[in-house]
Amino acid sequence: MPLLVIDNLYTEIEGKKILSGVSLAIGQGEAHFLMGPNGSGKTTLASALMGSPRVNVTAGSILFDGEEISAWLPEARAHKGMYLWFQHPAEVAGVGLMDFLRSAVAARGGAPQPQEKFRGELVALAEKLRMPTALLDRNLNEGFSGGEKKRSELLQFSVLKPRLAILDECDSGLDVDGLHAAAAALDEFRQGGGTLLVITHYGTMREYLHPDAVHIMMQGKIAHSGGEELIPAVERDGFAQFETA
Amino acid sequence: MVKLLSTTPEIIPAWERPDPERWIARTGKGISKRIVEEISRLKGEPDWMREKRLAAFKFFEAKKMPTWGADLSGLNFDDITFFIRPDAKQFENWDEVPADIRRVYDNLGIPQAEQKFLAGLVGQYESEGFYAKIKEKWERQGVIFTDTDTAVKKYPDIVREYFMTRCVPIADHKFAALHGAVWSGGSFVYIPKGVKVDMPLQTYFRMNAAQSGQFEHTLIIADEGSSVHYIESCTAPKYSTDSLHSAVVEIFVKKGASVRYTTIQNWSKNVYNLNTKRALVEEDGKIEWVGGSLGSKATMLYPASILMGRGAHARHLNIALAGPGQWKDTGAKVIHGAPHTSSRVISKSISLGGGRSSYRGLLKIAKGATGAKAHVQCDALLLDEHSQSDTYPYMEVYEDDVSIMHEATVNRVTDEQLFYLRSRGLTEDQALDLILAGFLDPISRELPLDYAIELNRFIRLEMTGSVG
Repeated sequence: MPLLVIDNLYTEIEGKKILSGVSLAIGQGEAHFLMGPNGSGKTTLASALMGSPRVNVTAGSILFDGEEISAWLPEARAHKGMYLWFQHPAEVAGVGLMDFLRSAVAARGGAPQPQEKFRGELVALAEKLRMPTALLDRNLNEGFSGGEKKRSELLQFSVLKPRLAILDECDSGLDVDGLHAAAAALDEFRQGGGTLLVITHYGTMREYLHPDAVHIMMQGKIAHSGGEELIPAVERDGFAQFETA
Repeated sequence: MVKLLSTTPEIIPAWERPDPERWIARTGKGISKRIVEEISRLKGEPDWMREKRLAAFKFFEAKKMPTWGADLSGLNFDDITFFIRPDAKQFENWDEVPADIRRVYDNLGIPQAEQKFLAGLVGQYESEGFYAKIKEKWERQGVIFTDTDTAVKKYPDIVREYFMTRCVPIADHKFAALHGAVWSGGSFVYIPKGVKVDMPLQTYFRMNAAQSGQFEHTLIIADEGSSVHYIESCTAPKYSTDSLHSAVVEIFVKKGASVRYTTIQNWSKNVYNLNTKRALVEEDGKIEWVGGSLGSKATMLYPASILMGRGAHARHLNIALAGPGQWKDTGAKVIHGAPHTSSRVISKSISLGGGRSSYRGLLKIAKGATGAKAHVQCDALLLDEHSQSDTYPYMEVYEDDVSIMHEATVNRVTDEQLFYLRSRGLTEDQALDLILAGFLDPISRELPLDYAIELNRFIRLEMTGSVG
């Protein structure tokens, strides 16, 4: 059975229908790309998968590792191994990035680590990800530049070691070095059996990740699915070619 | 960072439950000249104090209710009993304290704390003190720590010189005048020259009877070169009717002396808490105010530091919590009246469940206070959409050669933030704990550990009641 099975999912946000019958299945260790025009519902799908209280699931189901999770709290989904890389991560004043990550590791049942040891590991990881270590002592995403926020998401992803990562535009706003670092980390993740759902506007990530499948989302549902070859088609002719009558 | 405790507390905390009423004398409801005289008569006071009360009452009658700050429209003086004498004598030994009063203090852990951490303790039940004890070591060095009623009789010369004269005069404002007329209880502290009391002195006020008023008067005199840390805590049970607490604290910090005044206020949520606290600080003296305002319906409190001597220093740390139905109008006043005086104000407020907190502060630098340095920082945290926070900083600067900094921040905890933190595996409670601990960190670090944990526990308790 695939790791993630989305079946005929309908959602609303503040009474407004956003997703209308999304179905998608991703096998363990696979990387799927999700593309589509602005407003087609990609971010809503990501939020629904992670359990955002804003998104109301009105019909359909989400199976993760064989369990129906669509009524689960976000933290329960995280504990189960899901991770959402936010397109626009929240800024949290007063909460240090490092303190936060230590709490998150502990909340997921990890052994509480002495602060100095945790710090040492985090600094090493940040360096590997080419992230300025000064960010570790700043408040979580507060005043971070666009690229720094992406690096914060990447660092959290690397520390929390999920089984399924949903990446919502992880590539936009990253400089070349950042993109390389992210791609290397994601590739390593996949080599280790990790599963990816990559929401992207660009084909750049394809060169690093070579997706097993590409899905085109239009007006709240999957309009078309295919292989890697869909990406150049999108880049050449846009999304109009997938419009259903 | 201090971790907040996540244990689920009982629904009605022990200090909000009324204890059996225990009193032998009380005035009728409301306030009049006759009642003021009655209080003085019951206390067997000297004439000068009775006259002071009557003069204060005249000012009280003449002055109008304040129309700024917290909403006081529900406060009706006619419904309040202004003086209740507890049915207990003065004790120096907990074994002699009547069992029911003793139980109240036992439940709050007071006698145990006295044993371990304190240089002395005064306990007050309703309007008057019932317990006063200072460890022999300090008594031998001339430290005086007793309730203020006793001080009027035992140390009339000192009290007469300092009591509501030049620090908080009876004509200061309406509630100071009311206090002057009906004050009862409170603590009297005198630290002789050069004596450094290295353990805190603590007073614990309990207002138990319904619809009563508590008007304790605390007078602290730290003579030249001395130092002391004084702690005050207050609680009252929850009744459906409103009560009034209007205290006055006067602190005299003499040349080179140092006083730390710490208070945790956790009155139940139908108490109007309207206090006046002020310190006169002489050359090279230091005053430090540490305050946690957790309970009450409405609080108006702006501890004031008057820096009168060269090099005097004031530090104000304040945390106010405004939950459902609460309005906290708190802040700090610092008056730099001499050269090279310095002050630092850190004020943090948390509003939730529709509560409102206001920071109201005055910073005044008088002509001639050259080289004065002042730093004011006030931060507000709003835990939801319905709560409110506002800031009223007043500044009067009459000297050029000064350094002033004012910082203010307001942060609202958003659903996006909570979802973000939860998506990483934290529960909503853990996420709020983290945000709160982070917000309070700069101030909790300044507190003794026990105190910080206690404060966090109170905040936690408030939040469990109104969040999620």
